[in-house]
Amino acid sequence: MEGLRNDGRRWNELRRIHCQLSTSSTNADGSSYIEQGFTKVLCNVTGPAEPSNRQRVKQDSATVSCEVYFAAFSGTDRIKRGRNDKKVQELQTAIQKTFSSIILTHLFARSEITISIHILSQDGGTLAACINAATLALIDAGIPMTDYVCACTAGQSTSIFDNEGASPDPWLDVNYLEESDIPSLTVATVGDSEKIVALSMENKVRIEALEAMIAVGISGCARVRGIMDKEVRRYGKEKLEAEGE
Amino acid sequence: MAAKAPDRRRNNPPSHGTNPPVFLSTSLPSSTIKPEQASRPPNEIRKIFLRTGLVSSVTGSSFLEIAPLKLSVSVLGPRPLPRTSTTPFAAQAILTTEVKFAPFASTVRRGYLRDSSERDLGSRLYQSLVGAIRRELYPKSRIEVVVTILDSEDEGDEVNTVYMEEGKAAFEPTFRDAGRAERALGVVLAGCITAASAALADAGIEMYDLVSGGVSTVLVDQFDGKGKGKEGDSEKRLYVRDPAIAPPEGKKPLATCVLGYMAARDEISELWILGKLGTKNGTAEMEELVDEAIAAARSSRGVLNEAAKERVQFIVDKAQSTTQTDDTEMTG
Amino acid sequence: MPPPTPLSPPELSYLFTSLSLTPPIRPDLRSASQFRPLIAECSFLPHCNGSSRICMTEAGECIVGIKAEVEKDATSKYATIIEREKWIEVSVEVAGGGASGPGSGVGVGGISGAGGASGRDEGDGGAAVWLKEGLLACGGDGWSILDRLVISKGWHWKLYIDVLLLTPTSHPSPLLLSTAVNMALDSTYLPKLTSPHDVDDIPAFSDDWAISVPLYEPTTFPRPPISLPVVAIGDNVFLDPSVAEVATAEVGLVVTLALSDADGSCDIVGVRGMEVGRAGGKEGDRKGINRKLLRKMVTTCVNEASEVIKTLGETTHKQMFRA
Repeated sequence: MEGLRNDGRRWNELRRIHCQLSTSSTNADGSSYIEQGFTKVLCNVTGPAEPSNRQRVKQDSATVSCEVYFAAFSGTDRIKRGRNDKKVQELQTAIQKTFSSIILTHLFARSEITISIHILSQDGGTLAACINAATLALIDAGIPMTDYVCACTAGQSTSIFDNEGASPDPWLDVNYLEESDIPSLTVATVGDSEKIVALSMENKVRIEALEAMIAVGISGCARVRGIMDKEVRRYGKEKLEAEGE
Repeated sequence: MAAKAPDRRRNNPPSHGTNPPVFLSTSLPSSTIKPEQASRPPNEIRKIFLRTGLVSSVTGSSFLEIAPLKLSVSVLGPRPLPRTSTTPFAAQAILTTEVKFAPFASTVRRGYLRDSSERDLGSRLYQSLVGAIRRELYPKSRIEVVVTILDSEDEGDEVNTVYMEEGKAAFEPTFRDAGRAERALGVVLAGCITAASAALADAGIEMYDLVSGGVSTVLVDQFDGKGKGKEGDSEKRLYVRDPAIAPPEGKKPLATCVLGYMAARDEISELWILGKLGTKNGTAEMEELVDEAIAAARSSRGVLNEAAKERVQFIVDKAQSTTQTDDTEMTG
Repeated sequence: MPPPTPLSPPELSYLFTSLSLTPPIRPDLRSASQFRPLIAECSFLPHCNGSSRICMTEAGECIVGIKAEVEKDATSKYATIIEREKWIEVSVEVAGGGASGPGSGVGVGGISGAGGASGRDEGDGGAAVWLKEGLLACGGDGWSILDRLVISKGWHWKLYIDVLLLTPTSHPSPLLLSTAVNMALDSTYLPKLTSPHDVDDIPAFSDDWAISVPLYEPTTFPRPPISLPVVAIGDNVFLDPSVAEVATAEVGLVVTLALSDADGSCDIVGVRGMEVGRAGGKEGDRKGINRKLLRKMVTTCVNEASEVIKTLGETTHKQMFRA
């Protein structure tokens, strides 16, 4: 079975995505749950509300803040990550920056929108899952955004197919094993447009391969958007029908 | 996480600890070192020593001693809420309780930072006192109760040891006294409750009633191996008030009850039962255990009343003597 | 401190009156011993030996993951009780995912926990201690959950029970916590040992999850415990109180029970006081529990417990077999 990855996917196949809106019964304004393969993420959104802290007040726009919690049981080994953990901070900043530019913050001056994300299970593509979950939760909370933000990962497969000089196909939506093996990047786009709003890569890769990786990532984002949009429409319809009765 | 960070503020002993000397034999004849339990009938509590007003720098204080247990309680307040407090206004006084074992209070050394069992004791002490204090009389203020345990009954690791025979014993259910640590904490908690009430009284804080602590344990005969006399063992139940940590020979503890009791109102302010109690006869088993603990609390209430009275008498005497000297000075 | 409520004194007073009527009127029109509906899922986290998610409308959401790691015994020939009790580690993390704002993880429990603790303590102290206490007490007759954790000579499982609370209030219902832990424990499976018991080499395990060993055998007793919160106002006793009811209640208890045989009778394995608000009543009213009330409160719990535990167990097993 040449060309199949360790979990049986082809190079351009996504893992199963399951997403849900309004999962939480807490009085968060919006909530969502997303599974991308074995990566499982829960997201709650509160706001726009009065900022908890004076320093967060902006006179002309809303502040977007993000909290990421890794559950101690989320990885293979039990690791407790504190609030000042480097990885946590990095994710928080990435998500916060991404959504600050997408949410129409000028509509809610002097208020705060809090995105809190719980990572329950990690199996590669954590940042992508977090961004997707946050998008869904923001939609559930009814916070105006310019469009969906969808994220996906792509990895540069090792050069076993690289015998004819042509670079091999990048792998879409890498899992944990692949992520630890090969260089990979996370790309987030805005809606249907191919505008990149977040891009992150922590490994080194040959410059020629980069373009192909980004291209594959963007195509993945479009498919993720389709799946998310379907769920949002299904949920919205269900909700409307329930209210119509 | 933060609690586990190394404590850099003090010179700490080696983290693995050192072995205390174990004295195997003694020159005393064995009859004199019999377990203390044997000399005391099960319905009698140990002698309690309770004095108030030992610490002069706080509003109220007390010192309690029950055989090996020694603890002191300080009450601070009522005093105004700190300016930086998150709750700048409180219609009722805010009570805080803190229980801390001195590092040397038990065989296994305790750290300076409070561990979870100490925090738990603190919150249970809070629960037992909070209802009794007339907090509505002290708005916008706080009352702090600080308990320091100087010595406690604790036989250390050695006694609690379960020896595993070569590879097999571990797989066979063997009897072990699992609730031992909790029973020890229960006795400490009961002492804390009694002493804290005395200290609150000493501080002149108004209360609906004094709260006294009581402990009781129910024991059954220990069967050899797996002989379970489930039907018959209700006759052989032995209720012990104020139990010692080591169960009497041949008995195994089933459950322990600790409570804070307001004798004048006949109300339990805090209840903590740990162990296994059947419900075949409804709550009869539990009630019997609770009644024993109430009886123990009633006994310690006597001591509590005396301590409170003694202190009042002392203050009255002192006041009288000073007024008398004043008078003589005036007249003289 | 009692859970802070957004309710005003008149509202509390109204609640107090309606709850002390005969028959009482609860704000959500439940009967006195009726539970709130909940959503329960288990065994959904692939990295955990056992996991569960409980969702209750007002009380919030609770996710539990149980992980077992192989650990060498601290001592070779014997294990002390203190040492053995460290084999289970319970930690409760509160992440205010709700309106209470970010990180308002103060005072978990409602179980006379974390209350008067002054200073910046980790709020979880109370709840974690209480959960572990119930687990360890739920043995008897020589059985202990710790025996199930022995792997082979010199080796044992270290069980990490991590509780993640996403609640709108800082005082979640003890029922939420305990059902979640109960379900997670019930769905916990440990890999089967393939190396011999009596060799103190590093143990080896089978990769096949189909033959893994459940932590609690589904057909034998005791089963994992469950804790039921119960409060009283006047002579009325209420199971599974809501936040508003806790704020008005005069006294509260958390009764921990475990199923003891197949007939559905339960054993009481622990009772603890619960922090209540004591608001809405008159000054100098009841300050504690008298014996009659205590009997009534505990009897109510005992009567309802077996059905609750059985239903929960069935739900867990149904989901386990489906998986």
